[in-house]
Amino acid sequence: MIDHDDDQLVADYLRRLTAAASALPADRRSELIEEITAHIAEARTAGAADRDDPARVPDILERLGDPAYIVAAAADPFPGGQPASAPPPVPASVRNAVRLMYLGAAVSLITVIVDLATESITKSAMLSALKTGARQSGIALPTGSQFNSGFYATLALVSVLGLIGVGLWIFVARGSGNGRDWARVTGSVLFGLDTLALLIGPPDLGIRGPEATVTRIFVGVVWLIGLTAVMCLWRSDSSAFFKARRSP
Amino acid sequence: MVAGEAGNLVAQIRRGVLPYCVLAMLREKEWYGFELVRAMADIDGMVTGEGTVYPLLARLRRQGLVETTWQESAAGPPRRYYRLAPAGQEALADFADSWRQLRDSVDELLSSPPEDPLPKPAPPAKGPGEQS
Repeated sequence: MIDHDDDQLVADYLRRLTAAASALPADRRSELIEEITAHIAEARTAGAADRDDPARVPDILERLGDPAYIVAAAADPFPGGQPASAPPPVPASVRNAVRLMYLGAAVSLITVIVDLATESITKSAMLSALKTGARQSGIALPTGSQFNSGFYATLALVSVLGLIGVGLWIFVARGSGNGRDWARVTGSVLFGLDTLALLIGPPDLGIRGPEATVTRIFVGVVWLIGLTAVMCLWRSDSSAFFKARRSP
Repeated sequence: MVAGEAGNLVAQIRRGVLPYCVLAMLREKEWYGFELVRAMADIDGMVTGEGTVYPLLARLRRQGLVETTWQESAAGPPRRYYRLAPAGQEALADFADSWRQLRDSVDELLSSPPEDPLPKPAPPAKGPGEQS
């Protein structure tokens, strides 16, 4: 008799096992999955044959245990020497999220460097925009030194904020790699703030031209990196990893 | 140390000796994966689940402590049978010596206090009329 609910339970279990085992080397992974599959099949056959002890699939799976722990045992470098609280291996989804966040840090750093390198271009663009604006609205232009100090103060502020952003990317990447909940939440909140900032938009300073477009492209790329990283962090395999790392 | 830690410690010890328990089982006969796992679960009361035995078996195989052969089975697909390798026999013998030493020392400490190396102070002299 084939019970489709039981088959579904087994399929789900093996799917979770495969996902958890993504961190293992390929040969160990396929071997483990084969062995567990064969075990379940044997247990069901033995249960079907033994009328005194019919093996129910939920019991079989419960006796096998949580796939995360099985995979942790497979990744354990110290046979029997490590306590069961040895951390489960990092699933691919979290590894990808971490890589993306380091990429985000790199792109943000490049943005800061480019901003500083092109400051003279930006400065003259802002100056001409100011002059145009002043002519149209009749407001007096600031003096040369006022403009300079204002511009460089803004540039310094933006660069410092940019560097803090780079630091935050790295900080959240490291925390996520270690399965820390705060890292995942902080990363998501920062992404939310970034999205909000993009929607509200920077003030239109009247700067046009290729530099502005390039800046917008960088900003868009960073946002996309953030989106992909957050999506990876909240997948079910990642959540299982964060949950496993939560218990001491 | 905290009260109640003993349970945690015993669990750790159990995990530590588990590979040698598997080797000991293979001393008697060859087992195939499923029956070995079930036997371990019955005897040892493993907490973390039967599934964790398979990676352990794979590691023992990689370390050369056990050898495996595939044998046809009437009941279904071929089964992987495990047996002790010479290196495994040696490892088991070494472990048995160390374990017995440790077990004996701990038992001795737990059953009676160790001999006091310092002489006890003399009891106070008995006054007249006191019975000894």
